[in-house]
Amino acid sequence: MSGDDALLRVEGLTVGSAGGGTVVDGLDLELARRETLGLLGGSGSGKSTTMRAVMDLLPRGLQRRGGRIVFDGAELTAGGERAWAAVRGRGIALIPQDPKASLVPVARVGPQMVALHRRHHGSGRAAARKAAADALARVRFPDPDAVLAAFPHELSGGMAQRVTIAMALLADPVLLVADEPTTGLDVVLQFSVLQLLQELIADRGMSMILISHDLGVIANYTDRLCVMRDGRIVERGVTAEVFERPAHAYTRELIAATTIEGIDAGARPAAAEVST
Amino acid sequence: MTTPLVELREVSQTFARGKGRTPLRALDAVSLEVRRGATVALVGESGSGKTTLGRTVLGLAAPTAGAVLVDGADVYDRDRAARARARAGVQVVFQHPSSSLDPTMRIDQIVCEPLRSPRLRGRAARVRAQALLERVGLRPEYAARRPFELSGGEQQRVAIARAIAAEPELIVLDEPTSSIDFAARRDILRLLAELQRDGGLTYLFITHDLVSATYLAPETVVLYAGRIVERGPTAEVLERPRHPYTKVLIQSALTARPGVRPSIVDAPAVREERSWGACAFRERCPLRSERCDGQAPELRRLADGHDARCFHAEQVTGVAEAKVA
Repeated sequence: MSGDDALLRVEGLTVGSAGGGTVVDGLDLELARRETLGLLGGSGSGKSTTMRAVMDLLPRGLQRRGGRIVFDGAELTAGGERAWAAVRGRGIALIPQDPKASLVPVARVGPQMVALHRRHHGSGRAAARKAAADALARVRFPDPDAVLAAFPHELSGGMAQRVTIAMALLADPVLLVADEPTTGLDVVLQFSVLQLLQELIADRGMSMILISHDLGVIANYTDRLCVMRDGRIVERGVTAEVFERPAHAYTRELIAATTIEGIDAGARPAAAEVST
Repeated sequence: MTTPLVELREVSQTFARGKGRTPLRALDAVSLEVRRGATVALVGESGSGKTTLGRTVLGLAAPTAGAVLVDGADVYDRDRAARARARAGVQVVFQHPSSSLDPTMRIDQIVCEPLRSPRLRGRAARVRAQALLERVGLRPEYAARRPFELSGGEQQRVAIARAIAAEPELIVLDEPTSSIDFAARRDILRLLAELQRDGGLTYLFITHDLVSATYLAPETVVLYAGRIVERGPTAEVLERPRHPYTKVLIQSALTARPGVRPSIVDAPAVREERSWGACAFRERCPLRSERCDGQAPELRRLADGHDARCFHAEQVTGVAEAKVA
């Protein structure tokens, strides 16, 4: 990939904790336009922290210690707070891991979406409300007005996740970062949310970084992937090729553990008779 | 015939929803038995009632109707002592270890918490903690650490150590592997199988991961809209589902192989008022007929040994590709 094609380029990103530990260790990453990149790894591997650092949204106690981040030709790490503010939302939008925690619990969905739209586009109240309803329709709510009038606690997990996707779309981002977007959703909802994300990014020519610990999600919905462990990328490549010929021992271990045979090391519980 | 360790008798659970709305029936006359030493997987979508069922067994949510018995004793007995006896043998492992372990406590304190009694203090408690950590495959030095220093899989081992500390007969496993990576999932599933083999534990395994269900649970119960819609031997149910919803569930599961995407497009879950004079799944069902609109099907035994709650169970075709293997 030549440098000019890259939408996002991360070089030598290092994130440390207040206690002196290293959470992300000299990480390099490149994302092409219209590409979906998977970040695969377990909890604590640094995959969420990497993307939080890219958006300059690190939680208290974590700090970017070094590295360059270039998005759409602009070096964010040289531009300071103003550069990040211009990119957050309109350039890169985050779909957070826990949708309910990212919505304000005491406000209805409508005002939250309207405020967000006005902040990004400086639009009038009526236009913002229309844009919010349109975004909800795009994530397949048959009755957007009912969702606008709802409080977050009235939404099911799947509905809340679609609301956060609609909110991410409000600013017309170029890159969607989806952080474990389907953890906690059942398999049917997981499938529909992922299909929806894939259609949305195809329709609008967006790119996506999909963070997940689930190899099923990564295998089916990414073009390329990076396998992360202990703050480093241990393997990267075209998804289909990595699954076919995993080079790193950890990748091989993860892939082997996806099947019953891999879990079973002769340690399978004896099949008991079924009670009636 | 021996008494089952867990017995749910026509358990219903309704939740009020406030002004002018009918109560939500989270569980509707669910009857279920789990034999001592067995594992039953409880699968179903969000809102199907599987977590409510687990909470009901744990003594955390008194059923609106019906009874929950553990080892023959009523979990909701009016007598406090009898109630305590019924609950004494039941423990739980939750989905998110990071939120179910107190971040301010040391690991040895966490695993010994259920044991806190005048008789177990100081050195004796530390010795017990070491034994429990060893049992779940954590080295002795973990005793002095705190939860945030552990990986997700290690945290879940701590949660398991805490669950087995009081030597329970039954552990309710509420999606114990859904937030950890696949290598950790494998290790946790092996550990659970090993603990069961050695200690005669009984598991109620709430999950939407069909691979885990296949590994750990010889029997699977499928819940939909608060009712059991299918049950039978796990391999059978997953290979030859007899309820259209089970088939949707299996077909939606993603295989960890590129290019084997599920092909079905299912209607989104309907969360309207549940009408009980009809099949709850009819809005999403490809086999819907007039009969399904006018009458709620009963759970019935089929020729192949499954139970299914569907008038058209015999017409449900098998899953073309075995997604679970």
